[in-house]
Amino acid sequence: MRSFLKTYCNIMAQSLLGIIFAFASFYFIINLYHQQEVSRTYSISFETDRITQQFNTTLQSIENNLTLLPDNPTKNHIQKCVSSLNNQVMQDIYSKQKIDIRDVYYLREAYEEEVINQCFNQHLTPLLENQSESVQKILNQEINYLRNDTSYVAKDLLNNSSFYYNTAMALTVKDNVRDGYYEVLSSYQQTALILDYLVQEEMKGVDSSL
Amino acid sequence: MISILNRVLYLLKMLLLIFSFGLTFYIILFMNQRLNKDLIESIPVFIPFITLLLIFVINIIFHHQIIQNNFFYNFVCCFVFGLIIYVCCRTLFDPYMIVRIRQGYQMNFTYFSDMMAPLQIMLYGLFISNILFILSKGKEA
Repeated sequence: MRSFLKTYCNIMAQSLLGIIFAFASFYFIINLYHQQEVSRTYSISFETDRITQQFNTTLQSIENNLTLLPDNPTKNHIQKCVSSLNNQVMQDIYSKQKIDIRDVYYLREAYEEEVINQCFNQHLTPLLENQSESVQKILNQEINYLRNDTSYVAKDLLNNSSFYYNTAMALTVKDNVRDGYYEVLSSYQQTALILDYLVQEEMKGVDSSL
Repeated sequence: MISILNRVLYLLKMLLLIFSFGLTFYIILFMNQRLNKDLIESIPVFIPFITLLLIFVINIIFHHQIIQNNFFYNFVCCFVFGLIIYVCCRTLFDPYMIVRIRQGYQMNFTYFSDMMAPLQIMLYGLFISNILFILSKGKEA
């Protein structure tokens, strides 16, 4: 009986060790993989990237049209919004050849702080008051949509400590660096299009007054 | 060859245990400072380390040959402690985890607390298997 118990203890100890070894191996491999996943970069050439170029062209068009407008509070508000869109984080990203998850996070944070908090809340709200009721309604809907448009990107980014983040299977559907960048950039582009519309409306007003 | 390797692993596991315990203690201490918590509340995190340290000291004092000559046990111990050190290093230095940037503590507590639970279970497992190995040898151990 005693011999049986001793053998039983030995088998139990060996089995327990085997299980621990298996779990430790799993956590080691998953951590190595996760470390590689979170440090993934996306190579991008901003000079040739179509979506970035579209955004820059829209910004350039707004700036060109703004020079034709006389100095007034509307022009001032739009200029401040344009500088919010063309923020320091965006400028820093253009100087890179590869972007990583931190760049996407900083770009989204800049969008929230500079575009949503400053441009939308302080500058766009007074501009919308000059528009007709129907246009005001559509633009308000669009702005409200843009306020939360990147919130799910933020949730994804904040969740990247979890080892199930960005598995290879998920990568075929969504890469949080590449797709996160384009998602945030599309919000920038949508905002730029609203500003472009407002500038053109303002120019029509100036033309008709002449 | 295997006996030399076994001897190295036997000594290495003690060093790795102390080092992994030190790193865990540092992170917990830092975390408690930030949260204004008393260190006594974190004692359950340290219990598996202390029990393992005690059982290793007992192994050395009583010359438990079954542990000293058990290559697999010494290897798994080193592997688990190495894993704890790796997790602690990622908690402290991995710059790509966004929570680390968001919280601004220069440490990723979320990742650390997520990983610590399974690692503690492994430490308890190592303690239990050590006891079972000693029991399996009885007086001969």
